[in-house]
Amino acid sequence: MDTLLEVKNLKTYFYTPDKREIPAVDDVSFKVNRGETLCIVGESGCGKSVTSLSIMRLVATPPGKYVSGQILFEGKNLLTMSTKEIRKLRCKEIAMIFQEPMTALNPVHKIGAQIEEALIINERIDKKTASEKTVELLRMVGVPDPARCANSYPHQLSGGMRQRAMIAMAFSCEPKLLLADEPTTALDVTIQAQILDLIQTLKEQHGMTVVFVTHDLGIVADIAQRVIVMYAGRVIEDASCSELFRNPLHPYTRGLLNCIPRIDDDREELDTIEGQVPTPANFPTGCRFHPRCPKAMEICKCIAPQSVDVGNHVVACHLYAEESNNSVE
Amino acid sequence: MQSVMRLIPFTSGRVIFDGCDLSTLRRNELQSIRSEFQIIYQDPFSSLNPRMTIGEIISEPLLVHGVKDAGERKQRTLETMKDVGLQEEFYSRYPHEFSGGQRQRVSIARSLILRPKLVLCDEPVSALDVSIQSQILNLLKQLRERYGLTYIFVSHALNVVRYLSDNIAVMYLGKIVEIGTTKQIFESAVHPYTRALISAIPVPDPTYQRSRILLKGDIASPKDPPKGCRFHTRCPEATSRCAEEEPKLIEYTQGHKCACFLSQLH
Ligand SMILES: Nc1ncnc2c1ncn2[C@@H]1O[C@H](COP(=O)(O)OP(=O)(O)O)[C@@H](O)[C@H]1O
Ligand code: SF4
Ligand code: SF4
Ligand SMILES: [Mg+2]
Repeated sequence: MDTLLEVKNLKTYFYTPDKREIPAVDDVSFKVNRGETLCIVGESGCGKSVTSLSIMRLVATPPGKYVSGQILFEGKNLLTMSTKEIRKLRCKEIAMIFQEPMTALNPVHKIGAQIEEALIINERIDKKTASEKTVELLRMVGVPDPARCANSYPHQLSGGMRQRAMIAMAFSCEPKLLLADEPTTALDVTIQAQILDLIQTLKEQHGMTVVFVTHDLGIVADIAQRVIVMYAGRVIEDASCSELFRNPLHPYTRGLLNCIPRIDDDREELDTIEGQVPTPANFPTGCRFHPRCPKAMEICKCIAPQSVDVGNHVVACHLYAEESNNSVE
Repeated sequence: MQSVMRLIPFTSGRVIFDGCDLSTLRRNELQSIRSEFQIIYQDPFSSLNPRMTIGEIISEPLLVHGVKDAGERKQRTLETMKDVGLQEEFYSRYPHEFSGGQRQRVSIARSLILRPKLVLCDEPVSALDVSIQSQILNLLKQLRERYGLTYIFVSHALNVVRYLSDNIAVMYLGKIVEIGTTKQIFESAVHPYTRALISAIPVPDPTYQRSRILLKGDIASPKDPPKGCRFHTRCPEATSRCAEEEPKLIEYTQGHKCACFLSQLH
């Protein structure tokens, strides 16, 4: 299959003023095929946002640093590109949407002016064409009164409408890759369903590739073709969506699936994963999940498990070490 | 929900608690009855005073309600800490040393120390990680059995609501649109908003079959709700009547009420 994006052994660390190292993203590898939706799922602080910001080269350096690894987009390493090249790539090739639309929108400019500006810079079209296209884009993302929306400041819109405006802006240059970092987390579930549907439709119409970051396994089941599960800065499982839900292998993935209350089950008590979610300043040694893992063994405390491929399904856990000799990387 | 507690004044209507009309109570009466209901807030980070120790935070309601003996306060605090799964050593530590899940345990302990009858839980798990949510949900359920508590659980996460509730009231723009038992709401919802809401809950199973009802448009501002049925701007079933007249909340079947003309044809 045709790989659009490949992240290879990426390490993005932060350094605190007292020179402590924070391994926020620690040796992360995955591939995204052209036209597919890859979900990155995990709990807060596991490195989902830093991973997606790294792809956009948007991590502030310092305090951050791309310590090692490669991010190959159509074979070119984004980490070694010049700032000028990367600017050109943003929007035109790769666009990003966020949980908080104000991250991407400028509060002092009208929505329409912001989208027009992006269009004029990237598409080299005149102002009139740009403003027509802006209204068209807003209509496409389901804004009921696009002309009025274009003429509004971001704060005059509701959360759902701001989200749509941000999506319209991300789409203005028809990127090949859309990075979406929890874009629906703050929204009502009925609005969330509308936005997810919108992203899916646009993706299909334009043959776009999507990397969707979420903490919600329900959303993953809904939209993903492939899934990577992150825990404490590392990828602990990587499989197709149907495989992951049918046959979760990593004890963390299993635990996570069993602790969600579902609308189609009648358990009196939910399963739990004991303990707390670790923060990067004190990630446990060995397997970073070992203090919470019901299957932990002696080896797990000191040696980090390698990723092994057990057949189109990659898992990083000592339980599966014997099942395969072809360790990945 | 804040109106129930009389933290903000309500403009009309009545709140009856244990047979008592709260709107007619005087300040000091309100004060004493307030010990019988407590709140657990959503945000375990801003709801705890950072300058107080865990022990001080949890025991403060005892002090306010006149438990003067420090030894008794400490003993009752430690008991409650044990009940909510907090270790004794945490007694003299500060909130910033704890994770979201542990802070939420502290809020729960504080709200239970006076042994209230009613606890208002305002999105108590929505700021927590999935693996921590289930710990807190199980805890809330255990405590309800142990202390015979009644919860008013406010949440936008219907899967969580379903796990914990016996009865559910669905609200849209400040109005109850449907109310019934958990079974009635999940198995035979009649209001178009409830039906869309249930169909929109993400289920962590790619093989789960359902037909999703996608709504159009956007939620109107609560300050300026649409006339007639407040949902008519997004309702797939709206008729011209819905834009003019507001449907009343009327019994549909035993214990199941709905505010929609569709369910009121007969
Ligand atoms: N600018 C920064 N400075 C220091 N640490 C950071 C910075 N940005 C992120 N981190 C750390 O990196 C870790 C991963 O963060 P993030 O990728 O945002 O997690 P999430 O999976 O919730 O999106 C977090 O624990 C956070 O503390
Ligand atoms: S490596 Fe060990 S501790 Fe880690 S998930 Fe596997 S069994 Fe559990
Ligand atoms: S009253 Fe009309 S608009 Fe309101 S929910 Fe019923 S059908 Fe829809
Ligand atoms: Mg994030």
